[in-house]
Amino acid sequence: MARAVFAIAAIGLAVTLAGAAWFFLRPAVQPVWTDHELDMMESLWIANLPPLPPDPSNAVADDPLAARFGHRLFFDPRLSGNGEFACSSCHQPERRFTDGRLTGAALGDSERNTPSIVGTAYSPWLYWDGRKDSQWSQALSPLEDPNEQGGNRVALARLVDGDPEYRRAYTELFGILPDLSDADRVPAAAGPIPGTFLETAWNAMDPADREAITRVFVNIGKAIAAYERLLVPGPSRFDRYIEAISRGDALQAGAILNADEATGLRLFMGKARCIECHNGPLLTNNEFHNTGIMSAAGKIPDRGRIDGIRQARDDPFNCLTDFSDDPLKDCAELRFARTGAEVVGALRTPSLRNLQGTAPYSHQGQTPSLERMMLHYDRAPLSMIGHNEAKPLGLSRRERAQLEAFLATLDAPLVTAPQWLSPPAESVALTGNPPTR
Amino acid sequence: MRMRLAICSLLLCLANGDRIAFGHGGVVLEEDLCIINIGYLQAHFKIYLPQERQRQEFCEDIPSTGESLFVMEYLHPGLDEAAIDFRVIRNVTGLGRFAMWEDVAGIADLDEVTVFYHAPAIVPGVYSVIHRFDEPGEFIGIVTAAPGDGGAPYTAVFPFEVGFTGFGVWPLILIAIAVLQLHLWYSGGRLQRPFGWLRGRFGWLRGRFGWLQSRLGWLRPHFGWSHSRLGWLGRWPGRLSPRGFGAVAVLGCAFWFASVTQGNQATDPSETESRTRTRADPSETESRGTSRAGLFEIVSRLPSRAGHFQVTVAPDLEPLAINTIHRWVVDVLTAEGTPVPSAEITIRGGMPAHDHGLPTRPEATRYLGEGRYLIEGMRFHMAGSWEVILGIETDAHSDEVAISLEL
Ligand code: HEC
Ligand code: HEC
Ligand SMILES: [Cu+2]
Repeated sequence: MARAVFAIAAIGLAVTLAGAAWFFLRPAVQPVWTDHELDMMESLWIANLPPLPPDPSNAVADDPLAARFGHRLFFDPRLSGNGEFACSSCHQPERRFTDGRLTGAALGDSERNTPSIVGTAYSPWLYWDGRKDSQWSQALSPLEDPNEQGGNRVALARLVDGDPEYRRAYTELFGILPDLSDADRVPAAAGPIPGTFLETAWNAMDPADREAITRVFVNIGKAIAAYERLLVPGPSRFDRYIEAISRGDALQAGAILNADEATGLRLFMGKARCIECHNGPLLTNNEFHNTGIMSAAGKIPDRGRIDGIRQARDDPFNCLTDFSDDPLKDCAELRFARTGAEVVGALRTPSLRNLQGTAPYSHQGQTPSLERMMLHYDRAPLSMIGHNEAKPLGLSRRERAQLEAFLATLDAPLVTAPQWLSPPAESVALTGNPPTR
Repeated sequence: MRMRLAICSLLLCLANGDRIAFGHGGVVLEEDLCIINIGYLQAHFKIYLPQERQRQEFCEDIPSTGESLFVMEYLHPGLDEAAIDFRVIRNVTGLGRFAMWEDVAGIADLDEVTVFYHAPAIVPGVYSVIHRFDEPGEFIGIVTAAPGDGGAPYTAVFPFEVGFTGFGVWPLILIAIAVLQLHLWYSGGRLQRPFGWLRGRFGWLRGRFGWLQSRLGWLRPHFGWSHSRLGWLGRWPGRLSPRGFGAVAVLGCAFWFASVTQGNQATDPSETESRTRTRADPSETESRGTSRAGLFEIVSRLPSRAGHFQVTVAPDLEPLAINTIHRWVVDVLTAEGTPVPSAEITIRGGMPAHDHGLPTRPEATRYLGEGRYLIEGMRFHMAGSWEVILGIETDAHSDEVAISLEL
């Protein structure tokens, strides 16, 4: 009798244990996709990335010479106050145009984490808070920011004027440079950098000279933007998976993404709701959202878009100013931008392509790893300012790992030709024989 | 042992309870929402200790020194344009938590006692400042808001403590637990001897207070009901076995915890914030045109809610897609079908299921003739169910039409 009871208990225990083991350790299976999921998947496919949107505010946006000129400028440390920092000091091509730091640093410290530049031609807004509305006007900020490159527009104009190659490229693209030879009219260094001697010198200049030099400055930005436009992500393992799925080749698809990665994709589009904001082929809607990331130590929570939109409207280089080359000046994004409670603490959704090697994440580098990022989304805590749009997800540890595994499948080399991804060879002449794209 | 466990868990739960703060001065706790009143200008007030307590909110007193973040989320739009300054001084009034504006105004040299000052600034939406308290003590916060219309500034004064000097409700909890435990032992017969001893020693007291008993005797019948109704309360811990008691404690604890977490949810600003949001309204259903995006005309001759107008909408983006700014042409006809020339068109909308608005602020910018209006600045930033509500106002009528879109 007792023995029978014991046996039954033992069997019961074994069954329960086996059940539990199966539940926790069972291998993931390749998902079978619904039509709705297939639609969503295709919307993320890089093959559906439209051609580069035109930038009517920049007349040289698609000029190959401008791109080559911009390439030089991007990597040239002479474009800084002390001759040591180029754009590429912080946007390092070997790190997918980021710097691996919590927040950017050159002459001083930047306020935020250095984002990648890849794919920004598709965004109507630049920076985490969208305080710039074009690539060219964005490029002007670090050049004169005392914490970044700390240069000034008069010195920059003089640099272009003094370098024969730059001078030739500039004149070919934008026409003749203003005359900078009269040191009484144009000092060696000047620019409207608040609270500095450069500002005093700048204010002492003739308005017409200031205007002419600001034009040169803007044109430097436009050449850099022409280069940045070339930086576009390429097809990843995930894209090859969609291609196979859309051909109906489930077998090959299964060889491209393993079951955990594919389950992560399903979670991304479904239960985890990532696709609400990380949508489209670049996995970003380039819109501003409050996701309740904890502020960095010693800093007030980032006010984000509520300040960004004010700065964009007041920006002397925004879409509505004379520095834009667009005669129509539609500027719909700027004119109809929203503000208010919903954008308090809201930051621009970053692209999720190529996240490997761009840690730390978040606008001040607060999130050291993707694992922590997934944990954050799972919990979706209340924001300290504004209102967290993301909701708690109730993911298991395993599901979080699957999401992370999926994100890793979005990594791929850029479609951009390799010569653009390293400092330009000085030996190749800028003007004349153009190298192929 | 079990009993101890139960008590421990009870204690742990209670330790989780925060925000046992009550308002004084300009900061008050209203229905679990901490409010600062700067004149008639109200804001949701909270203090964080991000390094030590992460996202835990405090209303005024903060339990320890270190980095403190003060946040005011405006409830009155007047604060968006007001120049706000923020000062923290040592509380030298000697009045502790009862210090008021008059007392602060009486301080001869405010700068001398100031530990933190943030000069007036206009900050839309939300105001936040950060300060490191190096020493515990009593402080007073002074917030001044000068309204944008140039009116006289308003001030809110709130005394607060940094690094609690009191023990909060802990002593009460401990006493209650001790009494319960004693009662349990007593009714379990374990305390016979000490009690007997006490009775012997202090029995004479009974005699002394006999007069009280007789004087208050008349009260007894009045409380008879409570004795019969609630008498069990006095007995229950004795009747329950220790195990039962443990279970009750754990249950109580769970109930309490649930109510606390619910209380925390009530502080979610989304519930109190006034924001442009669209709610599905049952009265809208009859005038709602459901359509699949992709047709060039997304709605055709859709009657407005009160039936004054018919509306046809044609976007210049075909098929309608997310993340692309575009325009709409809206045809407004009267119910009889004649074009409406001089209507005022307003646009709002959002995703009812996600509780957010449009990512842009579209406007009707031009009248194109024959009852047609140009709407610029339309954009949708995620897939799903959207609702766009066009307000139409003429001299004669004011009406709305709700357009549902599935993207
Ligand atoms: C000190 C390091 C540093 C330097 C030098 C620097 N940047 Fe940046 N860059 C940053 C940081 C930090 C941000 C994010 C700042 C923010 O959003 O507030 C940023 C943002 C950007 C963005 C916006 C990306 C996006 O997704 O919004 C672009 C584009 C960019 N930089 C291009 C440039 C160019 C072009 C130069 C050279 C003219 C340059 N940067 C120089 C650190 C730097
Ligand atoms: C409400 C919109 C929204 C949703 C939903 C959302 N994200 Fe984000 N995501 C953002 C924004 C905005 C940021 C930038 C936040 C910041 O830095 O403060 C971000 C940042 C990230 C980053 C860091 C990228 C970087 O370069 O710093 C990752 C990774 C990420 N999200 C993945 C996900 C995943 C996975 C999900 C689904 C679980 C998800 N997101 C859901 C809007 C969203
Ligand atoms: Cu939504």
